[in-house]
Amino acid sequence: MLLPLCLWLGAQQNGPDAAPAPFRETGHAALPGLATTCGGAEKDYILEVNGGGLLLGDFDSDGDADLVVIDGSTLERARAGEAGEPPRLRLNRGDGTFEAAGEVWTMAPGRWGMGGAVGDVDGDGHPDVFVTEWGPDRLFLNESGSGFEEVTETAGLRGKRWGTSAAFLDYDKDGFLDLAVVNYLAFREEDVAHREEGECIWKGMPVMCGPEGLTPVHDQLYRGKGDGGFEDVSVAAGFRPREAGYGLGVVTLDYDADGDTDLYVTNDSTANHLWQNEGDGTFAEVGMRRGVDRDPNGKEQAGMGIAAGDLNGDGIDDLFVTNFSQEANALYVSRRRGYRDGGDVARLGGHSLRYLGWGTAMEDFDLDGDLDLAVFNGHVYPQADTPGTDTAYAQPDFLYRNDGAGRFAALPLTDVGPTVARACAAGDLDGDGRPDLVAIELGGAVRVLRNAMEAERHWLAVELRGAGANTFALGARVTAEWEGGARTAEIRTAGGFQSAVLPRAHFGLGGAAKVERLTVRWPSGEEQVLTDVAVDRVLVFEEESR
Amino acid sequence: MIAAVLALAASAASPQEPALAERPAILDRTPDSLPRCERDRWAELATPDGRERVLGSLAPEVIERMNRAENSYRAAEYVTALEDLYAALDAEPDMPPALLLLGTTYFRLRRYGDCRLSLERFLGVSSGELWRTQALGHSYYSLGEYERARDHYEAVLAAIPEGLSESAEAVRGLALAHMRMGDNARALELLARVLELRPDHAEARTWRARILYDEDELEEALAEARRARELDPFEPQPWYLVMRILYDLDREEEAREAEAQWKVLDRVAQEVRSLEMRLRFQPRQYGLCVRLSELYASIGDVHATREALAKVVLARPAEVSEFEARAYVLDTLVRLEDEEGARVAALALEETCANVADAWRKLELFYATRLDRVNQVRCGEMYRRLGGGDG
Repeated sequence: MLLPLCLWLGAQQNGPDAAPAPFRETGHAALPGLATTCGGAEKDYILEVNGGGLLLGDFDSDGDADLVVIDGSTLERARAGEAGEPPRLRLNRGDGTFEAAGEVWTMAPGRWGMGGAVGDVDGDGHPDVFVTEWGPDRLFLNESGSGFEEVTETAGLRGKRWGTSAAFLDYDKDGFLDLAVVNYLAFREEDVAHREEGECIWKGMPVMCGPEGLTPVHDQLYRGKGDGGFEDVSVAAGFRPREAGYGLGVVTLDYDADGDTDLYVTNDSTANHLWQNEGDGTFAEVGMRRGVDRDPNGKEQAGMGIAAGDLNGDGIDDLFVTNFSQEANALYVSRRRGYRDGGDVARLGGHSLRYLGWGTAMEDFDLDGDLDLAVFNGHVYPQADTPGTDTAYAQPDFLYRNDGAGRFAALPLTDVGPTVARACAAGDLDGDGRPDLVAIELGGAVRVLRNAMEAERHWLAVELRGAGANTFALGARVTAEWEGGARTAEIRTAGGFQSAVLPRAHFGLGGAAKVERLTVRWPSGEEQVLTDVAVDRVLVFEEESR
Repeated sequence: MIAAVLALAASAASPQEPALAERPAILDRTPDSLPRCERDRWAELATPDGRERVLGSLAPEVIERMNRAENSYRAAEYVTALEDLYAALDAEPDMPPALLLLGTTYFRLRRYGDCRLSLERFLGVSSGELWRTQALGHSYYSLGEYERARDHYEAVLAAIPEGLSESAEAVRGLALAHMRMGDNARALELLARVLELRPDHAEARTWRARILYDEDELEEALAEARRARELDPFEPQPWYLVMRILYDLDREEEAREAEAQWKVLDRVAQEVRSLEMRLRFQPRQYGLCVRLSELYASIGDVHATREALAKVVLARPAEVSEFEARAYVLDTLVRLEDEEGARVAALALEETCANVADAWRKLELFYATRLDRVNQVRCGEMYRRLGGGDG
């Protein structure tokens, strides 16, 4: 009885004559029987509200995107000292549907999983998995595409804080992957008031406490030593702001185009951080100086998800950040000196005020040659459904479609009703060249959203194979030029909030039947150029040995 | 004794504070639950004669409810105002003055959707009063509907009756709606108009500075931000802009000075916002009012401290004596070196606590430090007459 009613409600959203939704939910068919856990329904504590993580990677090296789902736990289990739900690998059958991986891919459960990162730590050409937890972080090596082995201890990764997001990068350009771990706050149930104690108030109602009033925890930077081990260089590398933030999201980017990899970290209710790589093994925090730390009036926001991409065509990635309800999502557009928030002018700010944004992705979803945005929403407070909040707990998700002039039109992402969404990751799951999406519903299903937009456009995806241990060439930049367009994309796996994406540069080409010039700037600084590149394929491009 | 008052304030903001009182049921009502009136029920209000007739036909209980609602609104007791407004509107569906006040009350509570519902309904029965509904424009704006906000502000300004001047707030709202939609040139013109109407409008100057900064007109932006700062030195936003602009101009030392002051003000502003949000729903939270006054006093904002101290007096619970509250007010103003305010507080202490020996002792000392011998002696005598100092 319930299902037909839901379907009817869903159908009403667009109306009988409305255009079909740009994405089609295929979760139940694509990922049967996969549900996640994140505390109880009442959300009495902040530990229960962030949800799990989604890590895309070609773990079995068959050329398509597989998915690791990082799952959480419950307070009851945590109180009893029991492990949470384990991370689970689902292998892509090649058509965007997934099957459970065999026993060899089993990852032991941790305390309470959050997110993680994907990168080839041991340089064997197979992506490995780092998992962040409320509790000890963990590293799983991919044994040549045939299974995972946990190596946390031997790798020297001893983080035990509440990690949320993480990013692999090669900040010191030694060819070995390093790791940035973003941490949230110090949480012990006995130190935090229960929601019903009424200590924390939102719009006149008692709600779960935090993050304000709780202690933020510093992020960590680990340097890869090249022998499979890491050392914590957070302090030595200057990766330590004067005041810690409540870290939630991270991306890697070369914001100043100086050839090394910088980091951008979103913080909840505290200023965001832009870590400028000084090129000598150290970082400087320049978020305020570059105008990406808060809103244009100087107010700190609740930074959640991040999407990065070159929207204005200047060769520098712009940054899109999702925020709390009644805070506009920010679009930090690169300029001569740093960034300015252009969210309102781009029609991204005002529209987002009713929603609390989490996972987000910037891709050319409609393959028309410019970057679009997907945003997943859902409140942290179930009390948002109380009258008078101007928002709701379950919220619709949106595709913001770029009109080519830098303005975006909001469309409901799918024709399924509102959900309480969290992390997302974008990637071409079914090999048709159009970026699809996966997203987590808080304490619920993993949603698979198949891109259902017009297919008669061209595209090119580029994967790189580095000559050294940085086999996926994280930090490289790929510039594609085609008739009527050009864009630069960075190779990264960090997906913003508790997610990882494929190390691919993806270009929508509209009607262009070839890429006239493709320039790769490898992490080493060397450049290689291809001309007249055939399209509608994944080009795997190898670095010339030095 | 001050320590006792402050301790109470501290405990009110700490984890030991007792649980929040039950959420008032009126907060769960929304304007769409109100009954509708018959067609043309309020049409006569548009004429002076009709107005008298219609208002004269209202039941005394309704008038009483409206009076109480207005008084509650003025005292920032918004939840109480809602109780009376809903009662009035249940009895007299769609009564325009009640709908207008309901919308404004919701705006103060930052329930923009309900403000919008109330005021759109108000316009449905009282379209000639469009000029009174700038809060509807503010609500559209706060909900992110900038085009609707722009159109509504324009309509409000066009509907202002002859003899009344333009509302600076409506012009400001119109300017900001244009700015959000990327028309910075028009926004600057309109903000200049706000300053013609209200030359001391610090916020208009701040917005001008921000737009000029976005346009990379750094020197002009800096001048405007500094003017805003002079008009409202306790508002962090102008300091923030000054800092950002100075950094962009590579004037590092000045920028760092501005940054230091901005950080102080911003930290205070963050806590003030949080406290004020709570006080909107529960205005009689004594501890929160004390904390608010402490915050304002910490940055030397005399005007805001005085207002917060007025709330302290109103919110005084039974377990805090009138003397303790009044003495706290006096001590705070003395600490702030607000001589004028302190003298008023001393007079209020004298009037309200004439039978309390300790009050006279406090006043004796207060006047002594001001070398006001006449009042010092007078208060000292009162202190001893009431038995102070015995034994």
